[in-house]
Parts: sequence; C-alpha cells; structure tokens
Amino acid sequence: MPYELLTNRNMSEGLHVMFVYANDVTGGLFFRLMLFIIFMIACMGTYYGQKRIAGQARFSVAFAGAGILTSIIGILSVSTIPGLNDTPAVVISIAVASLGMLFMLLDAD
Amino acid sequence: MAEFKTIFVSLILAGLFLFCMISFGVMTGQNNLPNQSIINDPRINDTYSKLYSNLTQLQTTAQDQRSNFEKENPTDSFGSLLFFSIVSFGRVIGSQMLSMWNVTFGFVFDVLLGITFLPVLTAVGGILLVVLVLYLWRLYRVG
Repeated sequence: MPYELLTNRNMSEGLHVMFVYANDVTGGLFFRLMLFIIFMIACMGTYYGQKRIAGQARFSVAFAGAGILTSIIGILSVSTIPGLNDTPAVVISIAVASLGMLFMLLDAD
Repeated sequence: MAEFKTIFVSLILAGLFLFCMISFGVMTGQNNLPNQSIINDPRINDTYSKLYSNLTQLQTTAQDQRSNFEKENPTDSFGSLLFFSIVSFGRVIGSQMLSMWNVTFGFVFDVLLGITFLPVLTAVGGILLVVLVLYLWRLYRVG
C-alpha cells in the first residue's frame, strides 16, 4: 500500500506540518526517535563537557539533565502541536527524568 | 555512604520534582490541547494524586514531630542527652520515606518495565527497608 504524499498536506499551515507528516508516515516512530536522539546528545554532551572542563564527570547528573530536557520538549510538543507526539512517549520521558533525578540525588554524598 | 537525612531529602526532592514535571505537563496541556493532556493517562493521574497527598501531609507530620520533640525534657544519659521522641520521629519519617519511595519508584518502574515492575520494585524496596532500619538504629544511637 503506497504511503501518503506530502503534497496531500496543506503546507501553508506552517513548518510543523512537515514534522507531523513525517511522524504519520512512520507510524509515530519519527518523533520518538527524535526525542531519543535529543536525550543521547544531551546526555553525552553534558557528560563529556563536564569531563573536559572539570576533569571529572558524574554520569547521573548528565542523565538527569538530559532527561529533564527531553521531558520538557516532549511535554511542549504534545501540548502544542496536534498529532506530533503522543502521551505514552511523554510519560516515558517523564519516568526517565525522574529516574535520573533519583540517581543524581542519591548519588550525591 | 549517604546519611539518613540525605536519603530523606533526596526522596522528597525526587517526589517534588516528579510532581512539578507532571504539573507543568498538565497545565501546558490544559492551556493548549486539553484532549491531549497527559493527565488522561491513568498512571500519571494516579501518581499525581498520591504525590499531592504525600507532599501536603509532610508539613503537618514534620510539625507534629517537632512539637513532640520540643515538649520533651531531655534525660541525662551516659555521655549525652537522651530524647525518646527521636524514636517516634524515626518511625514517622521512615514511613514518609517509604511512601514517597513507593510512589516515585512505582511510577518509574511501572512505566519503564511494564508488567515486570512489581518484582523489581519489591526487591529494590527490600534493600531500602534494610538500609532504613540500619539508619534508624544509627539515628537512635548517635542522633
């Protein structure tokens, strides 16, 4: 079965239509992968950034920071653009952020 | 190793953080797309109400324990002053910690592990219970 073409969408509504289209034709995988990539980049960037600047790094801090960033992006995307993100993905990102926060707080001496 | 008060503060702050994240999501959703609000998810709804009651009763509980502690006259003991109210304090605050643990970790494991979350939650909760008992014993001995 051929998938829907971008020309069927009304692109004059805004740039977000392109993202919603990409999310629809991939069955919701596009934005979930996007959130995962944002999480990984933020986590690795924070971790190695700490290491480069301070000489030592705490992975729990990088994990928590990346989780918070991902949750905020997820919440904003599900709350502002219809069809771009779904609630289960946001719930998972909030759970990951909470786990990171617990690790970070319990890791501190 | 972290102290009793560090674990207590960490668990309360983690619960508060989760509460704030959910509140942010709910408020943003209600203001923009109410039919897509995350509060429609039953796990979020349940966790939100439990966190709300836990966090609001924490202040009352802490105030009661403070009053008990202030009313008691210290007894001279060998090398220190003895307060029996610290036992009650330990019990109440310990149960608050466990309650917060069950809500926050329950939510996290339920979402991330699905149907297998209960054995993990109880196993890790068992470790916390042992640690908590040891910390309470230390609290009774040295304050």
